[in-house]
Amino acid sequence: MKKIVLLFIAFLIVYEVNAAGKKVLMWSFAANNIAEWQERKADIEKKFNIELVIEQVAEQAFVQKLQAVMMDGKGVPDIIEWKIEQNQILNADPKKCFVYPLDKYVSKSNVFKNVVAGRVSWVKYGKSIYGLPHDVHPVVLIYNDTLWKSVGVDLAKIETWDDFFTAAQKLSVEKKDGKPLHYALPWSATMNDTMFMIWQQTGAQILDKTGKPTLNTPQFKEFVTKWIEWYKTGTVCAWDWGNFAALLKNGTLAAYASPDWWVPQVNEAASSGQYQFKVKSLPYYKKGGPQTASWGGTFLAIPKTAKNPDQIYKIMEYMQYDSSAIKVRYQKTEMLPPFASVWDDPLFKKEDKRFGGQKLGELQTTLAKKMPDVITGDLFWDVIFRDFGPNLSEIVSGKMTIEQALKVSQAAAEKRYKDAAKK
Amino acid sequence: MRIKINSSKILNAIVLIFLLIISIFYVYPILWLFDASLRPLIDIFQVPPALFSGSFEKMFGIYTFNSFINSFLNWGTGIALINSVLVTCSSIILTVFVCSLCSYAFAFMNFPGKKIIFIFILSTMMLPLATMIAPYYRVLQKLGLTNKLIGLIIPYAAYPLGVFLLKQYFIKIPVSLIEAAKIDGAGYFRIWLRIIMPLSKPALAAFAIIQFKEVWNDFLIPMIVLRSGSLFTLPIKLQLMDSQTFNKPYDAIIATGFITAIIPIIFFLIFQRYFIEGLTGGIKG
Repeated sequence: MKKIVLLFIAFLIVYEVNAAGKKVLMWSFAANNIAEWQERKADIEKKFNIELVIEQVAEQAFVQKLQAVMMDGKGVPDIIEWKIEQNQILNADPKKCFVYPLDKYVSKSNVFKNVVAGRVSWVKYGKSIYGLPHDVHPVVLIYNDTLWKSVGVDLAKIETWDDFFTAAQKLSVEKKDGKPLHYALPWSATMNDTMFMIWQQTGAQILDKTGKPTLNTPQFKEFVTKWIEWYKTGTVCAWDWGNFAALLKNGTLAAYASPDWWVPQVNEAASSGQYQFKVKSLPYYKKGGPQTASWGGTFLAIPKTAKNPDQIYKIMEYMQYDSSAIKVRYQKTEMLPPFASVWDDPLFKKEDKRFGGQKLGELQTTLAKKMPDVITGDLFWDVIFRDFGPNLSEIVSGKMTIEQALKVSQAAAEKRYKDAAKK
Repeated sequence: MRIKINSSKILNAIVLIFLLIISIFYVYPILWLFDASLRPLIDIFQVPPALFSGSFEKMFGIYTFNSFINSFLNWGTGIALINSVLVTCSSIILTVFVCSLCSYAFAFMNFPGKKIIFIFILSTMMLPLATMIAPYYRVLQKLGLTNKLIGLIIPYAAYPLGVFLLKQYFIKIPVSLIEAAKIDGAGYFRIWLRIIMPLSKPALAAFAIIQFKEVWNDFLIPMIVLRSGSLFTLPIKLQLMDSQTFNKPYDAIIATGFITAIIPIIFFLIFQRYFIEGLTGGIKG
């Protein structure tokens, strides 16, 4: 008996030695987030007795590389960090999905229940949850109060987008060389940015619950019609990524819909002191509806070839939702964690000098709780970007009517859906 | 007094002006990239560009090397540049060696299945890259060549376009030269080295330029093969800089972009006279 016990102890020691320092490979495309993972690497390694190897894979080759290594079976990551919107990795059909469904973990987790439902909808394909969201990215409206008030508009009192664009016409009266000196919103002639955010407020889904495209619904048509009407007011200008901060600073851009990661664009303009900036929730699309949206973001998931998904899930949950770490994340990046139980911390209720002492964090957390649900799927972004996007440009240029554009877009999206089903 | 007008000179002048205008479209992006790489971040995307502001102070007074310093110090552009140069130069040497030997065999030697093998090699050009990635990775993995620069250099050597281009050039070389060399006792390798290669300089230069462009700009294969940041090439670095989900380092991206763009241009300018000669000579045959 003594020998058996000794043998058992020896086995345990050997097992522990072998298990110690087990390599966990993580791939991420997001350089900003990698900085956080690198900073926390030692802590994560110590907590789980692993060696965490973080590799950056460019997003343009991410899916192809993942496919290649999964087919080969060597060098496969245990954790991947990927984009929450533009997604070919997740699939409503679990057999076609690159990653494990996490339902059996999240249903038992006391941590995951604190992740806001509106954000979970972005990683829920079909009936399963496939990822842990890193962020929530609630969208607010940041505006140049000085400019708007100079034309007699108090944006704080504006309730709906219809009211907003009516008021915006006062702002764009002043012109130079035939062009307005000030614009109400930036927009990049696609559904990628401002239009994408406002669309989420409409409740018109791009896909139905089975993953089929639904660009031909009356709700979506109504939204596109409204959007074109708003566009024709001449109050929107091009979304200029590189020049955004400068356009805010010189007053060309008088407002923008901003997720938390894009808020710092206002820093320079606000610190120059020339204008007073303010922040508010997005105007309603329809009164009583959602006053926010989400834009951008990442999630962590477990590729199906990972060998120890049970442990990997625990590691991922810690990486995403450790209370003290996500507070540091917010302090450093201004990115609000999707983890509602920490939002009562005074950190999220601070006055923000950039907005005359308004409490941006408090507004963001309030809005994040009411984040609208979005039905996503593997075709979601392709339908928006490839099937609808080019036809939207045709509407704007007057080459197509809204009806024609939606018909053509829906046909293209349905073909995409059928082709995907065959694969 | 009547001035004699030479109509062909006028036509030439019109053509020249037209070509100059067209060339602006090609040169301007490089010029903008160069100008932007020397400006502070806040001025990079100024509209209209500061270069056209009309004031000398605004145009050139604020030039700085900060973008390059940021790119090299914070983003590891220096190592990526060395890796790119190493991979590109090595692969050109190896590819020229392999493809010219292969083309030599197709041009001057007779062996069973020559035509079929040649067609088979050419047909591989038709395969889309996307379909080849997984098998490509698998082969490299089996050979232990993933995450190694040599794993990038060797596969480039099998380049069907190079075999085709050089073979077409080689068959224009008079067979009598080969026969004379054989009579003098030269073997296949000696003929290739002493006769074929010196006579094919334009074709080799053209091929080297094409290969330089392919390898230098290749992003997908290096990203699939490599894992360590210290081995990444310039196109990967550029994409990774652009992968910042917010606060993109536009200054470093532009400086790195300028370096990435200018080196192939310099390479082309050095060998351009061979390039035209080599391509026309090769294809006519």
